[in-house]
Amino acid sequence: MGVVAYPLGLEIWLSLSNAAPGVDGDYVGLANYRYVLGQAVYLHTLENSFIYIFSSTILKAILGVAMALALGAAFRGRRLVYALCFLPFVFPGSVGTTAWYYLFSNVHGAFNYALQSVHLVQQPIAFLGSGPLPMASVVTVNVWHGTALFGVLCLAALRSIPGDLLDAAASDGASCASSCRSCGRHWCWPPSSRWSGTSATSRSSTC
Amino acid sequence: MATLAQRRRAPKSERPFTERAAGRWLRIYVPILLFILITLFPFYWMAITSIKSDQELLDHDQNPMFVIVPTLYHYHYLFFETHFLQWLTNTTIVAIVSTAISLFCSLLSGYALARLRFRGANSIGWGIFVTYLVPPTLLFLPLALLIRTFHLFNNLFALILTYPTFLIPFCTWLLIGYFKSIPRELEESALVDGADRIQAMVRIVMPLALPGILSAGMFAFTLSWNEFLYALIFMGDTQSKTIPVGVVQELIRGDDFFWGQLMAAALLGSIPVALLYSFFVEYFVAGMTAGAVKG
Repeated sequence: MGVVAYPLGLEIWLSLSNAAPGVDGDYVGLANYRYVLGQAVYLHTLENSFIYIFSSTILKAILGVAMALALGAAFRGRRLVYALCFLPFVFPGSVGTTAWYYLFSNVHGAFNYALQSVHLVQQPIAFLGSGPLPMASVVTVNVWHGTALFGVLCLAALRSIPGDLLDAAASDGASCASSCRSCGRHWCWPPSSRWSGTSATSRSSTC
Repeated sequence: MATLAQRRRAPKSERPFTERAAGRWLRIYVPILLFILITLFPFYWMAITSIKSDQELLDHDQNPMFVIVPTLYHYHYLFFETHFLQWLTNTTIVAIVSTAISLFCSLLSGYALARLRFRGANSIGWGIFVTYLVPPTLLFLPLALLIRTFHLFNNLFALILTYPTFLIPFCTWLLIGYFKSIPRELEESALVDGADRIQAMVRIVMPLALPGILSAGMFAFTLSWNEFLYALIFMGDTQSKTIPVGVVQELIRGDDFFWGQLMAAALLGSIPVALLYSFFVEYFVAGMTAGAVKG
């Protein structure tokens, strides 16, 4: 803990002082914070971060649950499918993102080629230009990257539901969907909601 | 339970076989296939790009989804004209050593927090988890100061020592959950039979916690294999870079993207982790079941 606590403490101190490279600063209170919060750019980036985190986390949660439900049943080749579904998550974020950058590119990108070849658009779309599209693109990449972890955690949660519970539900005439709903609510929701918090705060900020 | 299960299956088998098979396809295989298609499409893109010649890459009229004359030129370039092999070695060393250190520390701390009763155990557990949530973008500046003090820039030890700052909290937290799921009685009977704490931990608890330990180790390995920010800041020399940083820094020069080499490096660099997961993914899910979900 000391390894983390010391830098964190140093950082708090630096944020409260007017230190500059080579100069030990003096305590200046919250002046730095006041300055930063007065900047329109900062507020804008803050807003962007919130949109990014919430939309990608919600999407990851929905897709992750869907993935877990699809993978929960026993079928042939399950191990291979697990490993394949998990690939994006184990893939180095920096190079994975580069590949997506290429896909989105308006010069040689595959998406633009596909859209143009079926004549949906005349001009290449700037997926990474300005407006709402770049945010959507970034969220897509993040969702691609992080859904697998969500899926595996939901899968783990699904597996921890005792089988006889589902059997009982089935023999009482519950449909697949309703047993999913009730069991999911009690068994999967607490861990997955906790995880969504984790995913939102930590992983989104790194990739 | 057996009778319940039979009763549940009974009505299904009365239905005609084809209908059942179709339902199964619709419920299981179609969603899975969709998922895999979307998930794997970027990988297909990487693979196809990595074997295209530069002419094909720059040809606007050609369909970018396919390759006409495949070539291994980019792979050749990667191995003989960049430091890719050096980066691979660096990444492997850093990932293995920092995973080993973190796993050792978190085994001890996870066991202590799960089993030993002492004051403040709960709050320390929470504190450890909260430190995992502190984003590295906030921590790298102070850590860089530390690294400078120890004169570790461009040294693999800079990464080996900083990665545990985010690996240990996570592994500890995962292992606490896992240790808690193992019945206390097992160990207590070992203690009564004359084993000391360490023996009880190593001989009784660890073998039972193997899935949890494996999945913590895999997670730590993946995180340190893919880590970008610290490696970017602490490793300036081309020689001492790791794959995620080296590839992106050396194969993108200004506006010039070496797409073929980039994609080849991306594929090669992720093979070790992909192999690891394809062998142990069942353990991983099992480890998560007790560790992350009930922790």
